[in-house]
Amino acid sequence: MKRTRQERIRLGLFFVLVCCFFAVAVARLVHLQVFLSSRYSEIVNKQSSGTVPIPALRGIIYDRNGKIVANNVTKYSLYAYPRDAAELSHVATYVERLFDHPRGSARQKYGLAIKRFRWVKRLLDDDLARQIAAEAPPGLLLRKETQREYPYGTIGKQIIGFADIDNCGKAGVEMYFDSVLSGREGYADIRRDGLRNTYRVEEQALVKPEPGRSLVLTVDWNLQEIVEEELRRGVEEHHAKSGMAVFLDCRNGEVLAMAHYDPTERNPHLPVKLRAVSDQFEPGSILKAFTAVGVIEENLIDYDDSIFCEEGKWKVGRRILHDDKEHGWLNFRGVVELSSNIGIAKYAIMLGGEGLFDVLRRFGLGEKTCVGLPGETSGRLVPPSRWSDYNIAALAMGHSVAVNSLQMANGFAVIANGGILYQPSLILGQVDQDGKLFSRWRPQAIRRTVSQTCADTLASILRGVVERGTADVVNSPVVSIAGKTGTAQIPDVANRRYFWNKFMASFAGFYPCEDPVVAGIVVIEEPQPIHYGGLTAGPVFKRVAERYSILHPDVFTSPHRTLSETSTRFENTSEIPDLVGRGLAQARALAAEHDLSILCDAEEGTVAWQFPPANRLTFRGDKILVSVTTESADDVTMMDLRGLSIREASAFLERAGINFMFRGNGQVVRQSIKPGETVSRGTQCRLDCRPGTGGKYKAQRADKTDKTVKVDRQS
Amino acid sequence: MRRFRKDKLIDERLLLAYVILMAIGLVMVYSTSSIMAESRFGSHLFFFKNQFIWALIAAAVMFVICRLDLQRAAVFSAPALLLVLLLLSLVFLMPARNGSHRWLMIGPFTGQPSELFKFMMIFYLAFSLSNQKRNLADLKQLLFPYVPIIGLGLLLIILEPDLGTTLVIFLTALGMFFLAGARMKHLTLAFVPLAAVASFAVLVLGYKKSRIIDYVSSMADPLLGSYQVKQAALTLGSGGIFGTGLGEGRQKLFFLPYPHTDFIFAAIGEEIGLIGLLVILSLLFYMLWRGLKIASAQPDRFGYLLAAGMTLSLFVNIAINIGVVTALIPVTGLPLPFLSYGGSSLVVSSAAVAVLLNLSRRVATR
Repeated sequence: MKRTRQERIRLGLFFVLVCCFFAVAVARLVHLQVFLSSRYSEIVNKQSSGTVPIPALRGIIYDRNGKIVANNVTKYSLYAYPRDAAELSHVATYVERLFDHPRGSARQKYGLAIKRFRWVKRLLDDDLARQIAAEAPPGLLLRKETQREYPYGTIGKQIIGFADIDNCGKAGVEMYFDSVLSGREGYADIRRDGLRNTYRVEEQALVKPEPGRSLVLTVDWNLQEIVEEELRRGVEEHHAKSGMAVFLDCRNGEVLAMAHYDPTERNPHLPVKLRAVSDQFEPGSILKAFTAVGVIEENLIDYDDSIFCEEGKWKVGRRILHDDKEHGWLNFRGVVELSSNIGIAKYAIMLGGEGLFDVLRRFGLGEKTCVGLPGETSGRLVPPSRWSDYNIAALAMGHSVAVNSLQMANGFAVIANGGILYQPSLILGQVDQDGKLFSRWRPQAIRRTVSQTCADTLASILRGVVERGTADVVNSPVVSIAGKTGTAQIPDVANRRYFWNKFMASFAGFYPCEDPVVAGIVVIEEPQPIHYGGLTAGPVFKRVAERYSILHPDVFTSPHRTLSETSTRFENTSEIPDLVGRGLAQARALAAEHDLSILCDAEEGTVAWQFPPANRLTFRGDKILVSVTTESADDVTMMDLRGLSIREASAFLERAGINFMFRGNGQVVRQSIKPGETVSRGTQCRLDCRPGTGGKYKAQRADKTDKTVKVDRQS
Repeated sequence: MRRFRKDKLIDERLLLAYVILMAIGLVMVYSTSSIMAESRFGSHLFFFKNQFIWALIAAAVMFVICRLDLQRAAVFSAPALLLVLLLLSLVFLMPARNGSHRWLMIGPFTGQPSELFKFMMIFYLAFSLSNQKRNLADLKQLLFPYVPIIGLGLLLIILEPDLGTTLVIFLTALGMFFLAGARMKHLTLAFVPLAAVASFAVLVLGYKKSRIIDYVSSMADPLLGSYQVKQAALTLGSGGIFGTGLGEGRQKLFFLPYPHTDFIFAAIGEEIGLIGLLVILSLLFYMLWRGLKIASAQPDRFGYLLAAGMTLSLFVNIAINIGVVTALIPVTGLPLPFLSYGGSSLVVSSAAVAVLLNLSRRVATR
């Protein structure tokens, strides 16, 4: 051999070392790849795959006219996920600068930490999101989220309720029908990489989300706006604590509008309850209408027969009943029209406790209506075991019984529709995401409460209440209203008696009384100084009825009586001329002839659209919205919407194809797209509203109402 | 005796093993780097293309080396080594990459002079130690001129810092002294400066202190180790015996760091499993064995030392890399010869094989 012995030994040692190394390496590989393989595979699987939920799109809520009242919008949310200390400090500094926090406070405020997901601000304004997307440091990221948007601001918000930031219904319809609206969340298995990117691989499991179903409400947002406006006005005019109102379609129990107004309510845009279904109260005299039904059904009266009303004082058992005015002999009609406590008490005692209890039960008192809102109360109606005559008398006039506004309105609907109690409903139907009707909810008649003749008799008596009785203020030349007033003392629970100076003023009724469509109730809590239901709640009911009738002349025109016939007696109204197709100057002249003015989006052109439509009644001096752009035009010119009501402004925006979002309620005071600006369809416009300080309706009608009130107070 | 016969054939079995490894390497570089290349450079072929070009360059280098008379060329090894030292100091003028100055950029090419230093040092040591006038039993002759020259090179490389290559060069040099016949007690002296430098670096500078602590705990359970150790072990483990399939690895999706360079062995293990790794280990072992065979059969001391040195440097490189990836030794950044992406490593490893092939011509190995 050429190698020396030493070289051979050392080369041999080297070879042994090589062999040793390869042996160790193979052993280690077997250890890792055979024995630890299943455990390690699992860890790798876990760190490189995952499941992400795919949120389902929440259903949209429409009103009965197809207006979208709760919608989904896509917004960006900002979150932090810094990967290392440098990113963390950049994120913290940027966030502090962006939101004007003091230096060094962001880390604690948002709990920022390395490799921790933290929301910084969710649902950013679009402008801010764009700015952040352009300049945010790494570690600060944006995520798309859908958010609930309520285009009509606080209008009807008490009914819809609201969904929280995670799109979970927290009040109202959003809560009650959450399971229908929210749909089913889908999920996808995804692949992840070490840089927290996610991938979808085709063959991986994917369960598609099932979008929520859209709901169509029975509520008419036009009426809702009117009701809220008038209720607010009523409460403010009478310095009341609060007010509530319910209006429903008496022919099928569909709720048309429901609202309460409480000036002290903290978050009107996040209403937790609707007091019209959640608050119960002693109804007082409006309940006499139901008592009267029992009296009529049992044939206890002869209409010409009179009953002595004891000149205002009558001793029942050990207690004394009072009347507001001293009545002598009254027939049954007179007892109801003038709301004599003593008179109705005498009839009720004749009827007996069992009979009275039975008739009130048949009107649905003491039971939940199950209208579809959370927090509904059932009211309280105690069975008549061991009732004294005084108890019967008290119940007959609406005390020692608790109801909620919806129950009362529904009860008056029974009288209005000829005797059938319907289940009040809020939902007209379900619509799927493509707008196809999924299911229509039929009106449900619960029972026949009273006979047709009995209901008709009482309806005519209730018409008399408005024509001659305690509610003569409510008598309207526009629409014939029937109803009953109520002025109930509020119970002082602590002292087991009634406050002598606190009243629940109410008016419940229906219209038009020839062929009733709408039944409703208005309740004003603690009005001052006038406390009579006929003078406080009544005018609110009347104004709602008048304004709604004018809005829908087709619904409220009956063969017996048409609006145009009666409108001659109503000096303030004017018929809207047809302006479409005319030149703008000509249209102006024509409008001026009718004492109307025109609000237009351009200086000249041919009228292509007007609101309200022609041949309807409106109040003199009103503005008619006129647009010269055709429906097919791509660009629209923004109109000056300031001073208009939400109903009017939304009519223009809907036609123009501009997405809108109202804040607050009342009249538009600010618009995000300036008047005269040309925008394309689909642009978003934000409008701030404030309750009118001098709405046109109020300005024109206030004098008349005020006068009436004053006259009454003097008498 | 000096003989250089062109008619003798090169060791084609070594060449075959080399070609197979290179082919596997190219495929695996593509498989492990394509996603990263796509996301960073917009082309899934970015790394593969570079590696392919480097492979062509390596082939050209090998062709040249095979035709050289190495004995004659070795005369220039001392000045060449000094030139490389100059290059090593130039590295510090270059902008840092990943926090270290390892690369020299000349036009579109980047190279690591430390790799070149390793190669030239083996040449120099083989040439110098085979000089018959040199008495290796004399400590003075052992210390000078090797310690100043190699020491300076090691110092420059450790300052880059590149601990892995420093270690490879140090161990290669030490091994060559051992194979040349230096006395064992003299060799142990070499560990004195090593221990001093190591303890200074670790204890005072805190250099890779955490890596050493990681190492102790990760020997038993790699999951307790640092991120790199943990992910490398997970990558190997999830491959199992048969692997997830070529291109199917999940860990290269930015979980495993450097899946196409330092940790390519783990990435390969995930995709082609234990079976594939055993094939690769066998090929590497076979190459080393052929290298030792060639060394042993060399007609002269120069050829013996050169072949053994080249084999040695390949072995140290392979051992450290695989040791790191399998969590047997602490994390040290070092490419795996023939397989990892990286031009310098590829060319120098190939050159080492070329030297072995060249030397195989001098003898008729089996």
